[in-house]
Amino acid sequence: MVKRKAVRYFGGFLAVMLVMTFVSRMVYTKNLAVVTAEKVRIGRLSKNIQCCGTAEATAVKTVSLPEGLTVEKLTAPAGSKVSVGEELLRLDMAKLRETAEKLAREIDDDIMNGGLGGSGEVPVFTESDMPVKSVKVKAGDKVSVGSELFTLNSDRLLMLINELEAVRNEDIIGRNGEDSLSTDGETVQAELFDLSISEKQKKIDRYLKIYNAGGKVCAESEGTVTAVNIKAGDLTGQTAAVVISGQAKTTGSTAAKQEQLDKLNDLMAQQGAVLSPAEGIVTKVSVQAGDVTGGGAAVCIADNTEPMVFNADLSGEDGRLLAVGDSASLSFRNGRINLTDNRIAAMTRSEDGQNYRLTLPLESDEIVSGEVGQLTAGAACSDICECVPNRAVKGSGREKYIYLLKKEEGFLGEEYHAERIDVETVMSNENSTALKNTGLTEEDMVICTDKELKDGQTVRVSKV
Amino acid sequence: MSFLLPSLLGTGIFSVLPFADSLRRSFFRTVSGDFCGTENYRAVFSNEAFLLAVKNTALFTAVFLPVLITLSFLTAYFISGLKFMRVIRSVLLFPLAVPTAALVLVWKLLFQPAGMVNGVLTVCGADTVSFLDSGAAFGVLVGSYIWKNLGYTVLLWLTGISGISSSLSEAAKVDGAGRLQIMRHIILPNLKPTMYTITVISFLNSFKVFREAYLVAGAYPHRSIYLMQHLFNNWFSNFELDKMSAATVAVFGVILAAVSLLQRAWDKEARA
Amino acid sequence: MKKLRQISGHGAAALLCLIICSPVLMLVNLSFQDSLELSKAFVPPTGQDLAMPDMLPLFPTLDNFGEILLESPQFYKVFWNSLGIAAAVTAGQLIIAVPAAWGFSRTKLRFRRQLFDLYVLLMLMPFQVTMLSQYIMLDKLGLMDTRAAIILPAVFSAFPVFIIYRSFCSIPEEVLESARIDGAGEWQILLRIGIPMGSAGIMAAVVLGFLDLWNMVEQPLAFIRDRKLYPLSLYLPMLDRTGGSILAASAVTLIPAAFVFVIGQDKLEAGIIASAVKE
Repeated sequence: MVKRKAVRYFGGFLAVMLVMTFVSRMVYTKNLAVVTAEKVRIGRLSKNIQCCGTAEATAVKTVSLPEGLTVEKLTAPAGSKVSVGEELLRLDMAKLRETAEKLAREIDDDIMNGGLGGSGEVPVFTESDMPVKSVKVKAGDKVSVGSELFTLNSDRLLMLINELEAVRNEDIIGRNGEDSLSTDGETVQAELFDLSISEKQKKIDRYLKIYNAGGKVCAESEGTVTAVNIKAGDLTGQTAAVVISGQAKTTGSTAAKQEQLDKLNDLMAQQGAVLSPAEGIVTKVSVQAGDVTGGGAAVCIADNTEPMVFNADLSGEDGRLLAVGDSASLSFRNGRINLTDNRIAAMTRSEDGQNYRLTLPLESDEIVSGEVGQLTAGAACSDICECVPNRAVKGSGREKYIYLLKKEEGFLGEEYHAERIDVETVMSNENSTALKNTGLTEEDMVICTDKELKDGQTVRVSKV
Repeated sequence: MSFLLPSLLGTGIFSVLPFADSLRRSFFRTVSGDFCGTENYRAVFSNEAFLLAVKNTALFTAVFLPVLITLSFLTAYFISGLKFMRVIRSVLLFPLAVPTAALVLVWKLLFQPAGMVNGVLTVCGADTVSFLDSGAAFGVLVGSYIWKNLGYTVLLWLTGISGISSSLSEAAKVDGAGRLQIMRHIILPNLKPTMYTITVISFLNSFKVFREAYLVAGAYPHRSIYLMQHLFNNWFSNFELDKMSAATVAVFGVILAAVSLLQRAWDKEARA
Repeated sequence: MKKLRQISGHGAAALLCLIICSPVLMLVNLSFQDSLELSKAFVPPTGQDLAMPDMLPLFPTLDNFGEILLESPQFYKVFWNSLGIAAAVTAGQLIIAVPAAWGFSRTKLRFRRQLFDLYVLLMLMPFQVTMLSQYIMLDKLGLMDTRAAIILPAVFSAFPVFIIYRSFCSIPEEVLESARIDGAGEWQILLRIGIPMGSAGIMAAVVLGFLDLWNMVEQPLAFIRDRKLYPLSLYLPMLDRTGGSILAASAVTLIPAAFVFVIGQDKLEAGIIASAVKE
């Protein structure tokens, strides 16, 4: 009996095993990744490198305008072609004249105000008969506007102020007294009184100003102290207490003003027209009609007579493949203009070393600076490398790897395994990637798949 | 007669004929095919590996057989009086059914340096023994093979013992013979034919211990268990056929002699 | 007094049985442990010298079995390989050896004794001795690296002849005589009388043969290189040694052997008994 049952169970066991054979096969198949594989090619990989760049003029002339003028009309806007002497923009004549006159007056003022020969020396006077408390600067010191030069005795100043005020007040009373007599003689007397009062008032004002500043006398211009004629304890005199010599670029300096005035006069002679100094294309205009100029470059003109260059920025990876002297073709305006056989004249590296800037000489009558074009260069890998399809390379950065197809005789027959190999890529084009020193031969096959594989995993290959 | 024909034919083709060829080959060199007389034999007999292997195999058989036979006899005798003899018989037979490959792992587990047997030893205060890598490997092999074959041999003994009619021993008891005397004078003599079969079968099986050794320790095990079978296996893998032929013939001769001696001894006993 | 002896005797016998069975029990026990627990069996915990596996799985898992049974079709391939070999050889052995044993036991040829002794001798030779000869033959026949390389020589093994012969010998001659008188031909006698009466020996030969074949290591090791043809017994050692899958696979390998053993047990014992009786 036991035997019968045992036989039945054995039969059942075998049947179960049969079923399990298929089940396990199914599970196995499901977990099997289906991949394609391709042979490794040994050779030099070449690539077409493309990038965008701009044509730029090497010589750019700028036209700057004095500040404070109004632009009436913009004759040559950006992008227009101009020749030498052509009108770029027109300034408002009225404003021009006004500014010129104002400038002229200023210059005169400067000269009158003791601009000693306009050499740029500025003397600093102060009230006479004042005791000097302390002197803060010496010859050779650099001072700027507001720098303290010396300090007067405030107490004495106060005393003088009070004295003067007292005298003034007397005058005022006297004057008022005079008013009541309105005869000619008395009016003259009143005028005399007025004059005296205003003189005194002016003095009081000046003293007050210094007193309110704490007795400090500060520089009103920038420059270097060339002479100090007082010292602490002295009484100030009639001559300049301190002499400051101004810098060359002080726009406030008279010479500069004179220059500006000359310019303005020129412009007036041209009827307010600003002319182009060079032949070329207007690249940049910083002002518009109605604007007030603010000084600095108003118009930039790319000079056509000078040669142009084509500048392009390239990533480091691609940049490494090119070298000075390689030829490239440039294409502008969607391919309508094609220039072949340009040689790379210079390659510079950016600061972080990641990018390269290429410069090629550009000869064309039609292309104007500022135009964007496409650079195409063919680069070939310098070494013979093992090339694999792009899909075969996985990973990123420094950690890239590929899977090799390994054939094995297994229990189920011919089996394929994926073997992982770490690789270093040299370069890649749209189809293939070149690898360095992998030791692969043309017999090896790499697995191209998007699936994630594991080292040693069994795979099925769909025949290509 | 025709019954025998297919068997004879097959045996002839697959055993006898090739053996004759082996014999022939033992006098030639494998690679070149030149006649070289007894050179192969000389090479074999002076080969250290061969001598070691033969020594080990002979030693194994010499140890295994007596131990197995006596142990199983004692066990069988002991069990024969018990009630659950049948069940015990089945249990004992079980190790025979267990595939070696399945058990190998368990042997490793028990006998590895950190294994359980060593654990027991430590508990008892003895030193641990590196079983698989020293001379103790021999003991392990003998032990495990006895374990495997014990049930089978016990069964044989049991059948033999139960074959002895109980009337004989009863009569002896009545005559006042003690247990030991009964054993010596009645049981043992009557078991001679059983012992013959057992010896033959155990001898046959003793060579199969190669399986255990190979699965546990590989093709090149420790010195003490490097058996003749290992040697032959390795020679075969390395394709040193001339040495193999000479050794085959030599071993065949030895076994032939041993068996013939055994046969003659038994026949003499039987006749006597 | 006798009772005590009985009990102690039974106790000792029980202990013996336990010891005998323990490796197998350990195997089954371990096959349910996951790899973490298994590492306890192979690697001693830090600071200690001994690795003790857990006697019962504390964290039982079917993972090992799953790995073998669900995810490796290779296991099934080698399983059927082994089974196929065992079945083919057993069948072949029956076809060849039964008549041969019958012939040996019934024929009164002069050289019967010597021939039989030759068979016994051949049977006793370890495989390694005949390995070379077999290789030569197989090579000549172009059978190397095929299934036939293992099956054919095993079919002509002398072992089943030996076992079956013994049990055929125990059949009394009178039965056959009467059959012959009744007009039965020799083959018919074999089929109708010999086989049924000698079934014990035949079953014994089948069971023993199967168990031997299920374990076969040397022949495939020597003669087969093609992985597709490997039997289970060679597949097992190739698995990861410390993993759980090899244990699970071993456990599954046990099952057919256990089945065959249970099915043929009675006859096996009877056959062994029969073969133990000297002619």
